[in-house]
Amino acid sequence: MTFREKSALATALTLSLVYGLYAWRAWGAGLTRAEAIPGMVGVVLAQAIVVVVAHIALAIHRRPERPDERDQAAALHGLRNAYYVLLTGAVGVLWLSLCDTPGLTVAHAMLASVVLAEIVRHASQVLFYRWGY
Amino acid sequence: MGQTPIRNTIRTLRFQNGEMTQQALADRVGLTRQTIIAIEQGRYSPSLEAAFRIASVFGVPLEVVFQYDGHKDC
Repeated sequence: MTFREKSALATALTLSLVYGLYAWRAWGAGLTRAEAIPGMVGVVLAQAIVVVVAHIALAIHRRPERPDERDQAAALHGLRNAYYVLLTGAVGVLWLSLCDTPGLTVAHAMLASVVLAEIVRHASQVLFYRWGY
Repeated sequence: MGQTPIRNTIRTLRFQNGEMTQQALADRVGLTRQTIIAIEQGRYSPSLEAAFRIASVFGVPLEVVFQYDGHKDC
C-alpha cells in the first residue's frame, strides 16, 4: 500500500467512526441549538486532529512518494463519485429548508451530506487503488 | 477485480531484460512501484505517454508491451 492509499483508508475510517459516533449520540437527543453547536464544532475539531495524527504516523512509517498519474486518476475518481453524493445532499438540504425544517436539522443534514461525500471520496480512492474501479 | 481490456507483457519483458525489478522500471518511467504492479496485474491502464515510456525502456514497439483485448466487447 502506498502512502496515499493508506491516507485515503485512514481518512475514510476516521470520518466514519468520528461522525458515526456523533450521529449516534445526537440522533433523537432533542438538543437545542445552544447545546448542539459545541458538539458540532467539537466533532469537526476531533476529526481534524485524528486525521492529522494518523497522517503523521503514516508519514513516519513510510515516506510519502511523489504522486504519479495513477494517484491523480484515483483522486479524480473519488471526486467524481463524491460530487453525486454532495449534489444529492444539496438538493435534500434545499428541500428541507423549503419545508420549514428547524435550522439545527438543516445544519445536521448539511454536515451529513458533506461528511458522506468525503467518505465516498476516500472510499472510492481505496476501491480504485485496490481493485481498479 | 476490475480488469482492464489491455493485456501486457511487462513481467516477461522485465525478466528478459536482466530481471529488472518493478522498482527499477518504476524509477525509469517516473511511476511508483505500486502503479507498475497495478499495470502488470491489469488493474490500471496507463496513459499513452507512460505506455510509450515503458516500451522505450525495453526498446520494443508499444504493441509488444500492450495488447488490446476488448474487441469482443464491441
